[in-house]
Amino acid sequence: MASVEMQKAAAELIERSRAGDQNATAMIIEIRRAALRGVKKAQIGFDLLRRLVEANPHRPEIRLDGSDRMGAEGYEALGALAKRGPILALAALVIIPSTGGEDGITAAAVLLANGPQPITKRLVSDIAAGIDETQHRKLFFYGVQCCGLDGRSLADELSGRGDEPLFVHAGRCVGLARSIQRVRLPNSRISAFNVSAGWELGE
Amino acid sequence: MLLPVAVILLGSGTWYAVSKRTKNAGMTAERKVIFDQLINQPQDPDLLREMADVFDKHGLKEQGALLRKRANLRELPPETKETHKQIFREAMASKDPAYVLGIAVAFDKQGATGNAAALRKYAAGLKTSAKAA
Repeated sequence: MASVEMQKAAAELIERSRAGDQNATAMIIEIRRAALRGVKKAQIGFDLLRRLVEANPHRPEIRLDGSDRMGAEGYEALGALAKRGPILALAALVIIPSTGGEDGITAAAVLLANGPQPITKRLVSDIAAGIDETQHRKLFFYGVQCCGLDGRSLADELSGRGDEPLFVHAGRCVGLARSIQRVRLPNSRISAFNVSAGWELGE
Repeated sequence: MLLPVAVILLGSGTWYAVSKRTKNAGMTAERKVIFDQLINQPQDPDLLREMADVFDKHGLKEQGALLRKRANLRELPPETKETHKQIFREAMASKDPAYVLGIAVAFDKQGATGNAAALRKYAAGLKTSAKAA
C-alpha cells in the first residue's frame, strides 16, 4: 500500500515528466526497470505511477480547464512572444493557449500587459492583420472582446459551433492584456476588469 | 441580479429540506453550490448576513464569518474603498509576484475573495512569464 507521501511524489513526478522534465522521465524509466527486476519498493511505486497515469490520462490537445501547467513548448512560445512582441510572434500567441491552457493565456496576457507597447485598438488591428483567413481574424477579434469569459464555457461554446478555438484564445490573451493595462489607470472602473472585484470595492 | 437571488432562494429551500436529514453534515454539495454563488457574485449585504446566520446554525462558522465580512465590505467608508482600489491598481501594475500575493492575502482576510483571486491569477502569470523571459 503506497503512503500519502509516495502518492504525492508519484503525482509530482508524472506532472514534471509531462511538462518536459527529462530527469523526471528518466526516473520513471528507472523505477520501471527496477520493478521488472523484482525490487519490491519499485514494484509498488511503478504500480502507483501506472494507476495515476490511467486515472489522469495526458491530454495534449487544447487545454482550457484552468488546471493545466505550461509545458516546455509553451515556455518557448512565451519566450518568443517576449522577445519579438505580438505582431512578429503571432504564431507563438496561437500556440500558447494550446500548450499552456488557461495558465498560458494568463501568462501571455501578463507578459503583453507588462511589455513596452500599450495595447491600443491600432495594435490589436496590426496583430490581426497577420492572420490570413477572414474567419480566423473574426474569431481573434471575438476573443479580444470576450476575454473576460470563463475559458471552459467558451471552449464548449466554440466546439458546439465547430469554430477553431486557437484564434479566439489568442485574442483572449490580447484582450486580457488590454484589460490589465486599463485597470491600472487612475480612476479605472475595476468592475469592467472583474465584476466581483469591483463589487467588493464598492462599485 | 434577480436570477442569482432566485437560485439562492431555491437552493436555500432545498437546503432546509435536506438539512433535516443532514444536520451538521458539514459542507455538503448543495451547501457548496449556494456558498460559491454567494461569494462569487455581487449580492445584497442583508441577504449575505441572513445566509451567514444559516451557515452558522449548521456549524459552518468559517463560511458564515466570510459572508459577514463580505457584507461589511460594502459598508466601508468611501475613502477606505478608494484606498483599497488604489492598492488593487498598484498591485496589478507590480512586477513582483511576492508583493502581489501579499496584497492578495490581505484582501482575502477582509473577505474580498474576488480581488484576491484576480491578484493571485496575475501573480501566477508574472511567475510563469518570468520563467520564459
